[in-house]
Amino acid sequence: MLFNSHVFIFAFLPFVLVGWYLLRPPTVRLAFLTLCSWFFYAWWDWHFLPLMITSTTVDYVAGRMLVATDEPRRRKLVLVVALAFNLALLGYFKYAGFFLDSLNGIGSAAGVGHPFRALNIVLPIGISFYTFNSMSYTIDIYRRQVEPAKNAIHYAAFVSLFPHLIAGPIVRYSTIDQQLRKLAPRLSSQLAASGLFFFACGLSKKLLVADTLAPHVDSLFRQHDHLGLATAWAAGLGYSLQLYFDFSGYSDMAVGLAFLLGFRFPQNFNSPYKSLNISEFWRRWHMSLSFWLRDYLFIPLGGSRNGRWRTLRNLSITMFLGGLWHGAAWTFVIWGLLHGLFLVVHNLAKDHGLTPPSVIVNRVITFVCVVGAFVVFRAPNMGVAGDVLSSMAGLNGLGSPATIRHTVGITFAVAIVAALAWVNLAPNTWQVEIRPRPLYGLVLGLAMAAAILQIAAPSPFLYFQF
Amino acid sequence: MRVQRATRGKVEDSSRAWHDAPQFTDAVGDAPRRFVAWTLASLAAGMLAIASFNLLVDPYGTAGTGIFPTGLPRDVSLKADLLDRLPSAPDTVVLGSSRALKVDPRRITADTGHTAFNTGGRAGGPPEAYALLEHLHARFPDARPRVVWILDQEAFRHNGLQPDLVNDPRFRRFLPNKRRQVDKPGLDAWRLFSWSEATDSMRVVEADINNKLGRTRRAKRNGGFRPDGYYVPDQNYNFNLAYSKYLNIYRHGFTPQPIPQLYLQRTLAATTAWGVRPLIVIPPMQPRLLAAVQKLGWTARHRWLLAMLADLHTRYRFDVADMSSITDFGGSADGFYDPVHMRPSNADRLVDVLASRYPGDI
Repeated sequence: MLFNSHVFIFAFLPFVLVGWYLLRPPTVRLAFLTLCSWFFYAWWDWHFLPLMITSTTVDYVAGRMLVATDEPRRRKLVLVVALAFNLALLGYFKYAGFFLDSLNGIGSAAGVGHPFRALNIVLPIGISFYTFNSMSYTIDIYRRQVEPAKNAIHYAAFVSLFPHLIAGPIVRYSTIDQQLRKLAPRLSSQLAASGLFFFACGLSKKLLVADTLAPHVDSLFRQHDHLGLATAWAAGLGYSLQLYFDFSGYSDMAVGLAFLLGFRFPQNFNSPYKSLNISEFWRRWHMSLSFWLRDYLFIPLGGSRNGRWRTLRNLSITMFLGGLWHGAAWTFVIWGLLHGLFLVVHNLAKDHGLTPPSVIVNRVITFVCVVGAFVVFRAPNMGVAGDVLSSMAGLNGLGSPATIRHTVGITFAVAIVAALAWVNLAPNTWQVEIRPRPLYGLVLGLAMAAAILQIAAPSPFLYFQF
Repeated sequence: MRVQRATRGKVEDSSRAWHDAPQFTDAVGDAPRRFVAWTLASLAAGMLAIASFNLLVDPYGTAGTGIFPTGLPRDVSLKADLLDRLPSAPDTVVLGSSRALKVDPRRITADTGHTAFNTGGRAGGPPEAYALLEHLHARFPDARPRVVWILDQEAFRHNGLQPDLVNDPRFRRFLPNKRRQVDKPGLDAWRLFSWSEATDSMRVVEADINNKLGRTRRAKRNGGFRPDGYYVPDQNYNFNLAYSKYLNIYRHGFTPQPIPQLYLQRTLAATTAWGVRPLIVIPPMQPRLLAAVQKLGWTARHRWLLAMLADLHTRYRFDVADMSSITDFGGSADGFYDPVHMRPSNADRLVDVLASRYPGDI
């Protein structure tokens, strides 16, 4: 079920809110929320619901076993088994097909044909997100950083909580533990106001901005081999803006929905295109993932404690795996490696005092790097990415004004300029200090109506594919 | 609303990416409650305003308010406009759906010396063909034009008449039981709450105002048709999308519906009565799609179509040219915009072959 669908907004959400606040015993309320979340998940394809429940069960049991013993070897064994299970799930559903295809490609190049039969595995929606949620729970208990879930229902509610289930933010158990133990007794006007504010902002970002940019971006990427300098930049900028408004819109909606249920979620985007360097970008873009990678991958690898080269190696490994997390394709691997390279270069430049002093120059350099990398992220293969990037570098000419007008169009050009001004100058959703004025309510309600009226055909969020 | 300052430093220093979500300021007394009430009320008001407008205009004829002429101008009406402007009846008339759009009347003239007019249009099934032919006959009662009908098996997929066909006064009299048979999509309440329907409502209102002011320019604005009914613009179809669409149609299967069959029969009865011998041409598919759908029931439906035509042939005069494969007329796999719509190159080749094999029919 999509947040931006009539059935969600007008049927599922009101039903959940009524049930959630009418029921009294906390365990019953959490059980109700879990069942509703499972229904929300099964709406897409019920066949994959047992998979999520199995994953939930394994990590819950692992958590109980970890607190039941102090014996280090036994604890490590439990951790390894639980992590292996989670990684095996991801490995099979997300990466098996990719690796076999790659091996077949190598086999074909070596003249031995396709040694492996192609696997047509359907990727269960949200698997990357709920697997990471679960892994962080088990690791945190192993590290004795969090208490285990009070009971299975608490844990199931945490994993399946529908606002973050499909595309994050990646919520850690430590974030939500106390909230699950002390549920909001009623929907206060404060909670409702905050929830509506975030939900309306997210809905508007997704439906009025991202979905408006999407057809133009798709059209430009389809014409990848006919792009000139301006049209290629329109494609790159358009996609970077589309992705930001789409994903940050989803995150805002998730935060708003959490508010309506009385929960607080962490911030996931903090004006990433205002970053002065690539390191800062990763502290502002998909923050729940980058902090997850930092705490559970970069720091365990040694972080920045063992000298410069080890730090750079760890950064590269972290970004490579971060890229692979996004999808089983070489474009995502290259995208991750590119960001690893950017981080390495930035670290070296910083150490040698080579970073430009100008704020504007730093922002432009960072933004250009990010846009270039997003072209690789968006492209279906490296050939297409190469075409667009070479056009962005001016290798395929400027393109005639008539072609630019015909290919890009005035609407798209204006939308890009407006969206660029928005992401560079305007505050983000979390920076807006909300005042409960009727006028703001009126504007918010009309924006929400405009967005809902835009719902015609299903328009999935870009990050659902991960 | 005000903007908070110094949040960047907070993120930089944070070890857990934790920010407190912004809280309402000045949230004293009933202020948040009023804010929520205003938000929900304006949401409801905005949506209801658009829905009421759509309900009132009723652009698809689903609600039956009848205040505005329902239905957006479509190819069938545009073709009737062009037919009305003809000084004399054409020697050859092309009937059909969008698959006939690129059959060029000038090519027919070049091959046969006959003047020609293409009535083919998007969503043009047997009811549209019948109505246009009857309209032509009413305008030129003494004419006996040759008829080339591009007819594919998907023309029998939908049961019922298009609302805009029924709503065009020029066609109404040819459509008995039109109210009962009209193919109403059904009132979809959610569609009322949509910008896309509001846009169509606006077009309906605009067209109505223009008609009342005597500014009918529908053919010029919407069609891109030449006076002989040829569709000029190159179509910008997406091959893969259309391929998936047709694959899905065949994958889910469909049963040939009675109303299109009825209008096929009516058309043939009419042409037989006028002494005209139509040539029914089963149009080609792009080989990749044809190969795929042949495994999904296309072959059985093709056999059904030929058997039905053979049965009708015992009662009515017409010829059938099965050109469903490009090899039947020497067409090219590249000569398609998408898996079903021919480019001019294939359409011209098809006309050449028809002219040489069925000289009396075209």
